[in-house]
Amino acid sequence: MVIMDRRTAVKNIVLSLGLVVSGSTILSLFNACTTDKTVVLPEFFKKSDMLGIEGLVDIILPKTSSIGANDLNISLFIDKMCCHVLSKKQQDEIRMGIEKFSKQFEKITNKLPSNGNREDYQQMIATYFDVSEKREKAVFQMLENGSDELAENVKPDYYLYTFLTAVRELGMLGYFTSQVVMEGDIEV
Amino acid sequence: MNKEYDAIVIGTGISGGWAAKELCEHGLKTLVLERGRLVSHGDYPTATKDIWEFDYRGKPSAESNSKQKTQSRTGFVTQETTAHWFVNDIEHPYNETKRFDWIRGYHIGGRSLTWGRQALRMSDLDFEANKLEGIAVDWPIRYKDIEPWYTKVEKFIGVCGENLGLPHLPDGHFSPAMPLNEVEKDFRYQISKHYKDRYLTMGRFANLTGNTHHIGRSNCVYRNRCMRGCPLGAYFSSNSSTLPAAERTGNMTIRPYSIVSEILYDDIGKRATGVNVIDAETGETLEFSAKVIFCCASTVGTTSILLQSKSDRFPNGLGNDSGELGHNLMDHHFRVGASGSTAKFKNVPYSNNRPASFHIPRFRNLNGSEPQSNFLRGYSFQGSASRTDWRRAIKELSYGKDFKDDLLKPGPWRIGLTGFGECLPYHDNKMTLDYDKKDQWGLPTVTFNAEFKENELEMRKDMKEEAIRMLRLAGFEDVKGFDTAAYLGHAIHEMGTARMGHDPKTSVLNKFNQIHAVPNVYITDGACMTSSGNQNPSLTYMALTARAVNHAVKQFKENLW
Repeated sequence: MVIMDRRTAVKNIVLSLGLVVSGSTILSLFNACTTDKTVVLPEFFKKSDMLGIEGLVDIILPKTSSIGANDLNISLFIDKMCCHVLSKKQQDEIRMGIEKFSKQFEKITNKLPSNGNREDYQQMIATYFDVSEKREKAVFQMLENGSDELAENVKPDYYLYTFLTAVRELGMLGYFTSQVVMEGDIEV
Repeated sequence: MNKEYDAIVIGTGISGGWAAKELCEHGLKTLVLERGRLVSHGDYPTATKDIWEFDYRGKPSAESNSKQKTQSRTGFVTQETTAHWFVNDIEHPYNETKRFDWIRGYHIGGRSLTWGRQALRMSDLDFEANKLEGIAVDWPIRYKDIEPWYTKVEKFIGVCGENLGLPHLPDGHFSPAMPLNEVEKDFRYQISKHYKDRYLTMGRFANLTGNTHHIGRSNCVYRNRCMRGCPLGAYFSSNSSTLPAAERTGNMTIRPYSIVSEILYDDIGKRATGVNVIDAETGETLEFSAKVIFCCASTVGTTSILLQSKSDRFPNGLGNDSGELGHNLMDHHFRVGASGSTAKFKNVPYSNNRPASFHIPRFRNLNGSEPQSNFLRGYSFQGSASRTDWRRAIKELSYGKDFKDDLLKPGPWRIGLTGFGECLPYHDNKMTLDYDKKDQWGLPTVTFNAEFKENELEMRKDMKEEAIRMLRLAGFEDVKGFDTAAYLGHAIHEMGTARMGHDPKTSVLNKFNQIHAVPNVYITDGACMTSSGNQNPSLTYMALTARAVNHAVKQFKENLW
């Protein structure tokens, strides 16, 4: 609410002072209040992959007494970011990562990701995220070093964590910089 | 369009805007040329957008990154919020014998729209250093020559800050400083307790506070989105301040999309007579004439124009009798310092909307003090304390309810210090023109060959150590030093290449910023700098510009040209 008030105040000041502002600026001032409700379809991931991403972000940022990532369609945001923001190399690594993820999902839960339930995703996340601090550091070090020098037998692990941490980080970005969360309007 | 003017100003950035205002206010009919597009005050498309209103939450898309590869080296200017203020690197190529980050924007206002707004005076510690140390050439001015012009500029642009009474960071004409937060206040206290020669003060910023009226502008409302352009004109830019002032006189003609390819020189009259312009959109070439020319196209832009302006008299570029044109390229070196955290101050109010940082003025190698280091000159620190947000958990594998609830709250305080160090003027740090690689307008491209050397690298070690030491002494925990590889250009304070000096044999400009041998051409942007100091340089460019115009107008009115 504070942010909203400040924004409104700025507009009022601009308008009330009668400053010389161009038409396009005034237009952009008013556009700042509109919300885009266009329906978006995945651009980067397959539709079946999207179910997996929804399953993951539901565990990472669950609905509790406050809204969760899936209340904000964060999976579509993740898809958009992967499509338009990541480099070609990052995209290729994510694609290999989701393939590995699907394989591991089947191995661990005996199901396809599209058939997995919340417990299955919980189990997947626990498998890869509930690790020692030392392992956590090693994972991020591996990701920072990149895949170029990696031994072949470590690469699947690298791609899997590339995918999982991208979903986690982009999910956090989408959630915590969303209007409802930033304005504090998150009670369910 | 009229082809004859009293004065021509090349460039509309922080120096060009001042030249335009001062020339017009003195009654000269002035043509102001800008190579880029028109941006009127208020034409700031992202100024009022919230982060969720950007397609990619502010992050540059892969497509925009591919067009701004060099600009993106900064790590921040190519974000969605500000990318439109910086050039397309494919359309504006240059060459690097050694890496040089040439970060710039081609539009009315130039980088005055995106500058860091720190407005710091240089002092005689800076103006005398070259002479005392026998480095490069002596500045032809001292603090007393520029002091009244600093005051004039500060009064017009509006600078908030605190006077400290330090000889090496002279006091100024300030409105009330922006507030330090509680952690910064404590750090200030700790520094005063542990050091008798170090001070922490709020940075001096060209944002309006206090009660002084500035036409068409209003006080800062703490949005901290200055780089996007401020519809309130709450920070100083050419667009909000100097160009409207010039416009009000009725003496200014402003022409965007006007690339100056050459300053024209008349060997008989021994004066510049005008400029050749290429229309950036149509490719049409035009000629404009004037009695006096202010070249304020930014350091590299200005020197490129001079190097391109060849004649029988000046076969190596206008005013290049000394052979120094293009040499002595400098930039501040930074991105070295330390950060730390504190578990205290959990319950004090906090907002991250202050568009300013604190400042620790230079404390090394001050006059009269014992030699303190194995390097010359010095550095200052800029920094701030803030509470971490959700990004503190990026490099973790945490998840779930507790993780989410925790990140919805402000995190622990962290404080960071970044040093800004002086770079010595080295003759072999240079820019040249490559006539084999031309741009889309047929003009030669710039090649950079410059690097930080031993003095800067030694200084950086001290910057890191002292940042760590001060934070530890002040009781911060988890103190970590950093020293990110430093390249010229990265601080976006490029300067030198047409230095001021006493002697035409060793410098390009005299003490009034006139080209020694072509006195109706004034260079008042960063190109004129004889040494770099450690202070953010824009205030000095503005003061030198106002001073040079005052000189030029006298010459003009005495019909010397």
